[in-house]
Amino acid sequence: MNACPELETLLLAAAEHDADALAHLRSCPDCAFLAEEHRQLEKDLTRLVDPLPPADLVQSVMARVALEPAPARVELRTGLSILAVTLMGATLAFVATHGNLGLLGTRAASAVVVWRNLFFGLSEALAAVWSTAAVPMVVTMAGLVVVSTLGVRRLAAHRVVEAQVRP
Amino acid sequence: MTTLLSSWLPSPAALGSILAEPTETVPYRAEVHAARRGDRSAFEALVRSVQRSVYGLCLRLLRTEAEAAEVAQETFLRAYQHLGRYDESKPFDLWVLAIARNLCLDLLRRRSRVHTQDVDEMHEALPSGERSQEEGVIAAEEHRSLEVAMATLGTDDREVLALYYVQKRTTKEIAQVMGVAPGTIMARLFRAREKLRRQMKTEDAQ
Repeated sequence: MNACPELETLLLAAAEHDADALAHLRSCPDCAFLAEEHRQLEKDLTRLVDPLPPADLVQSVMARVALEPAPARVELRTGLSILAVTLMGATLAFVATHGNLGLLGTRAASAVVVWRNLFFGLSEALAAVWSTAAVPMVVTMAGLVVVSTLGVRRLAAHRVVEAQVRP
Repeated sequence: MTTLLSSWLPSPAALGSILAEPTETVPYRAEVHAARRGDRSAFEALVRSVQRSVYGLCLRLLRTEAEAAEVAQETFLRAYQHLGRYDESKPFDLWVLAIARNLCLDLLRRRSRVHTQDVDEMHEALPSGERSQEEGVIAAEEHRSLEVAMATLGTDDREVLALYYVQKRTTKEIAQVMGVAPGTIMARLFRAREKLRRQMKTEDAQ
């Protein structure tokens, strides 16, 4: 007799009516015994049913639902908010370009140049500080990292509390 | 708020799976449509239709009646609040089950250990499907030992067993609820069953 295949492989193959798996189950009493135990367990599991929910579940849900706006109204409100933000952005762009929206590209390019100069300026300043006071700078950076980490952890904890199921 | 929503709404994988696999019949469509327009009696009908499977899954995962009832309530409330995000062409009950599952997993993540009394409480709450006078005390005891063994399994195992054997869901439906590939469900079922079999052997030996 061939060595027994892994039980998972064997039973999954047998469930697919694989001829080799079925032949092995017919010839191997050990595997056949295990397969029968699984079959019996499946039979027992199938007899289980969901419990009845508490009698007041529906009433409790509906009491909370009664305090909520209709879903369609929420969708409408969300849509209007998006529309308002979009219109506001367009208005700002219009005002910023004095009515000439064609200038938007030029304004964007000049903003990139300004920010680029600011970035290089900051880099040079940091390099100067690093060359004169490396240790205080490392200590300060470490402090910033610790404070930021603690802040993130507090935020995460707050999020978990918010996600808790309210009674 | 956005991050909060993402923690309990069905995962992108689950939604992708739901979107990718259209179903033949979609029950509850009319009720959902009416509920979206603000018809609360239509939503109540939806709650009544799926409350047992939602509460059952919550109880199997959480193992305490009070928590299961609370999470079931929260599930329906969030389903109502976010009906706008629900795709009406897909099964409503699976969407709600996925919300319930995610809320249960959130709660379980906050638990550090399992209390024995919780398990005992659950055994009292879970009925047997075919318990009758003829089956008598022996069947009841067998049922209890099955529930005891099942309660010792991990969340994933309890979940897949409950959905497949208790709620009689298909592997495709389970995959949608759990947000995993349908092809993995049979293997998950086997592993869960094998753990259960070994656990019951251990209990029998004691």
